[in-house]
Order: sequence, then C-alpha cells, then structure tokens
Amino acid sequence: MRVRDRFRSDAASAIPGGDVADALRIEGLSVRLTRGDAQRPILDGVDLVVHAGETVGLVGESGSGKSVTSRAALGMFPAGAEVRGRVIVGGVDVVGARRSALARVRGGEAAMIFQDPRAGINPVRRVGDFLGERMRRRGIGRAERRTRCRALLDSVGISDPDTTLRLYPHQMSGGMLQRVMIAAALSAEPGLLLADEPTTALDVTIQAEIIGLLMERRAHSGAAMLFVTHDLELAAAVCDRIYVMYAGRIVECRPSGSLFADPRHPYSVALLRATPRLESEVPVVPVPGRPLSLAEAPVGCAFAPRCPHAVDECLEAPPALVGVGDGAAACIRCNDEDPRR
Amino acid sequence: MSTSSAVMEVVHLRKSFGPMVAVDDMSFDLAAGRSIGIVGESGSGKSTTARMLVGLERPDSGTVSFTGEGKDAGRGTRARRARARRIQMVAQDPYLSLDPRVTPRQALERVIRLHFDLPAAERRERAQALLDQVNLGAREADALPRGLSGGQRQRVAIARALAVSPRVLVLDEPTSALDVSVQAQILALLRRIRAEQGISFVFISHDLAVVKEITDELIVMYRGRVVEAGPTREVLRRPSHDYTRLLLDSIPRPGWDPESIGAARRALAAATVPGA
Repeated sequence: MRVRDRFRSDAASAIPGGDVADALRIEGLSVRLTRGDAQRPILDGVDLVVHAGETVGLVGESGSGKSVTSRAALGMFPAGAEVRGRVIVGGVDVVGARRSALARVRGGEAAMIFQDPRAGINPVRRVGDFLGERMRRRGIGRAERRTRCRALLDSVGISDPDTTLRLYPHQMSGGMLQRVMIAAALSAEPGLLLADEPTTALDVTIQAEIIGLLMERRAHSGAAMLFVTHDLELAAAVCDRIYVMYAGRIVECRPSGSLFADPRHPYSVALLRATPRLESEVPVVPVPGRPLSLAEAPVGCAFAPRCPHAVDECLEAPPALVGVGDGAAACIRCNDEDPRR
Repeated sequence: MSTSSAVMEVVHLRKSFGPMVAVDDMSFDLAAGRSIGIVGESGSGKSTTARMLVGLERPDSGTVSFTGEGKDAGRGTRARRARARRIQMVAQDPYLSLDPRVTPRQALERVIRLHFDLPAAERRERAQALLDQVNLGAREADALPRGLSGGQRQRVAIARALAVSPRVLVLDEPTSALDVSVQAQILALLRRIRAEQGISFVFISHDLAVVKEITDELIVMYRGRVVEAGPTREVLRRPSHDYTRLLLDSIPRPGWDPESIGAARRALAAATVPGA
C-alpha cells in the first residue's frame, strides 16, 4: 500500500489539472489474477484521467493492459481478479459498486464500441430490435422507437434507415455494422465513450470514414472519449492526449503532438521507430527482445531488458511517473539531456 | 517491366466466381531477388491473385509460369511438389496456419523429408539452420503452437515456407495480425532473408506504409483490376489513379481529414461500375 500511495501522489502532481469535471478518473488501479501462473498484476497502479469533452488515447501492445483498463471504466474486470484502486465514472466508483449503480453507469454514463462489431450484437435479432432494446425497456412505444431508430441511423450516415432496421447483422458489412454500433453507443447520450480498437478489423479507406464519423459524432454530443489502440499514428490523429502503456503500467502521458515530436520514455521512442510511416525514408527499427509475459515479475523497470539506455539503477525499483515538460514519463532518465542518443 | 532475369511471369490472369469477376487481366513479371507489392482493399482481388500464384485457385484464363520450365498446370502429386519448390506462401493469420499438434521442429523436418531425400542427421541440421535463420530458440522450436506468440508463429510459417528453398515467396498480409513492434521484427527478418538468399517476394497488403518498407515495385488493385503499377516510391510519391490517392489519404496522420476521405471513396465507387 505504501508504495502505491507514493506512486499516486507522484502521478497526481505529474498529471496537470486533474480535478475538475472528469468523465473518467482512474486512481491507483491494480488488477491481479489470482489463478494461473501470473507473477505480476495485469494492471499495476494505473492513474488515468479523461476530462469532460476530451479525447484521450491509450496506446500499447497486446498484453499491455490497455483493454483491461478501458473495460474497468464499465466495472468489467477479469473473472476472479483482485482489484484495488478507484475507477470513477460520472461520480460513481465502479470498483465494488452495487449492481444498480453499475447498471446506471453501463446504461447511461459510459458506452463502449468494440473492435469486432459482430461480437457485440445478437446475430439472430434484427438491427432495429438491437437499437430499440433500451428504448423498449424504458417503455417507449413502437412507433416512437421506430422514429428514433431511424434518426439514429441517419445520424451515422446510413442512407436507407428503413431497410437497414430490418437487416440481420450477417447481411451487413463490417463498416456498416460499426456505424450501427456507434449509433447505439451514442443513443443514451453518454458522458464517456470507450472505443477499443474500433477500426482494426476494417479496410483503411473504411477506417478513415468510421473514424471521421466517430470524431464528428463525439464532437456533436460533447462526450469525452477514451480511444484504445495499438496504432500510434491513429491515436495521434484522433486524440488530444495519449497515454502509453507497457506491461500493465502507464509509462508516458503527453499531448499527442509532443509525444511524436519529443517522446521521453525509451519505450515510446522504440514504438515510434517501429511504426512504418509513409513520410519516413528510414526503414523501421524493431524493438529488441520481446514483451514481458505475466509469468515474469521484474523488480525494476519492466522495459529495462529491452532498453538501450538502461543502467543498474533501472533494475532496482519500478520507476514512478515524473513530470516531463507538458506531461509525465515513468523513466528515471527521461529528463536526461537526450534519452535517445 | 519485363527483364531477362525474370523468375516468374504472370500473363493475363482472370478469375471469376459466378457473375463476380474477382481478378481481371492481371499481368506482371517478377525478377530474381526483387519484391513486388500488391495493394487493395477487401474484395479487390489481391488474395485471389495470391492463391492463383501458388496454385490454390485455378485461373479461368491466363498463366503463371516460371522461367526455365514449361507452363505446366498439372494437378498430380509430382506437379504439385515441383510447384511447391518454386513458390511458397505465408498466410495472414499465424493462429490458423500451423498444425496445433506439431512443434516447429517437427513441422520443418516433415517438409524437408517430403521434398528432399536426405539422411536423418542432415535433415535435423537443415531444420536447425532454418530455426536459426528466423531467430527461434530451442524452447520455441520444441513447443506446440499454442505456446507461441503471434510473432513466433509467423516466424515458424516463414521458416516452413523457406524449407524447400523456393524462388518466390508469396506473403499474404503476413504482419496485419501482429503488433507494431512485432511487425517491425518480421519486416526486418524478411529484409535480411531477401538480402541473404536472393529470393523474390510477392507481398500482399492493404497498408501502403508497410508495403513501402519491403517492396521495389507496386501494383494497386481496385475491384479486380490493376489501376496503377510502377516502382513503389514513384507510385507513392506521384500517384496517378484516384484510388491510389484515396489509399494514401486514408493513412492516419496528425491533421488528416477523414471526412473528405469518405466522400472521395463514395464518389470513386459511384464512378466505377463493378465488373465493367
């Protein structure tokens, strides 16, 4: 506990202006699997804030904990996991919240758009039934439901809403279905939108269209958004600020522009160098080594074994987030003259 | 694009499924040690092209031929094995392309036994050399696929394709299921293999930034047709077709305008009658 408290106070001072009207506030969130051979928590003291109306990126690779973090905002934790810390959505701490409070968060305060739209919709129900389900439970009549559903589909650029309402999910393309999911997510006018790799399964041209729609609808509704992706370029194009995760911890938190121009954590630097870019004449450089498995629990910095700048001190304790310029980074050397050298 | 050192010549390939023309009039030459990219969206015909190149799909018309050999389209075991030694494929999904009950080492030894008449000791040596080539350690070599990560599995798939020393390697979106850092490792591995062995690549992808990393020439497909072809850098720097421009504009970067991309895509789709 003592370690976590120290970490929290460091991080709170490192993340600027984090107390007014937050759509999502995660404080010292640790999630540990109690079964299996996990040696370290899947989330380890995560602090993250999404201010009202803000779009925040959460970037990391498979297994970094980014999806677990975004699901935590809905009070969804892995079965049998030990959870510590606070996750505050719309004034409710969803960790250990009562069922009714959770239902309120999931049904109104926050909504999620998943990577695979087909996984989030009942394949034997029509699109109209899916969109109108919440309205029906609220006792809204059939004719009114139909009008509202039509307006919802219209708002996400579906040109023939009447036909679409009668379709089954398998009769629609992935891009069209993702539009329906965006319409459904925004239908309850949530204060927080969670998007977990919403376009990874789509073609690049369709991806651009869906992202455009998502950005436009989000701005229109004024909701805040936590945008989870492994694609740094995409995160930078969409988000105001970006959190970078590695092995269950936040390793850097910066405005998008400065993260690209001047990354301070060696992992962010490595990730940027590994990302193919059209404008760049330099071939991509692989990150040496491999990501940490859950069975490994290093005493020091989790990235140290792959880090070109690691020194003995890096192996002693996990580095806390410290302020760097306009954000924070969890590296003892992030304020050195030039961490890239 | 014809050169004297071409290893593979593709001439007027066409394939339709019912009324749908998947690939129409696809032609290109591939020189020894060169790498050609085929880009396009889902349904553009790029994967059908890949499948015809390796003989998983029979073209309605047109030929795939390898220099120094006849245009055989035999279906017998012998013809299939001969084809396998000329061209191999690495599939997109490393989670589906490996037998879940066979370790990487066993998989490699089986392929070698099938194609070459070698004593057991040499077979083992050869398998080990392949494992080294794709940087798979002893633990990975003797683990079952479920114990391997996506990147490790894709290394196994590449080693297995290389086991018969093919002249051409067809890579069908080999990194699109992988994380960026793992993708970078696989791209670096492929670059090294090409430099060391002079093997030719056909690299199928929807990602222009990845294609830029690994190919010399580029073919852009849209609705079954080649809409643009040329040296990769030229095509990316000065795209001449609207669809190529749309693909380039679709790549996310700070300050991009995703809304105009949607409008451009619809305008292009409306202007192009499928199959015409």
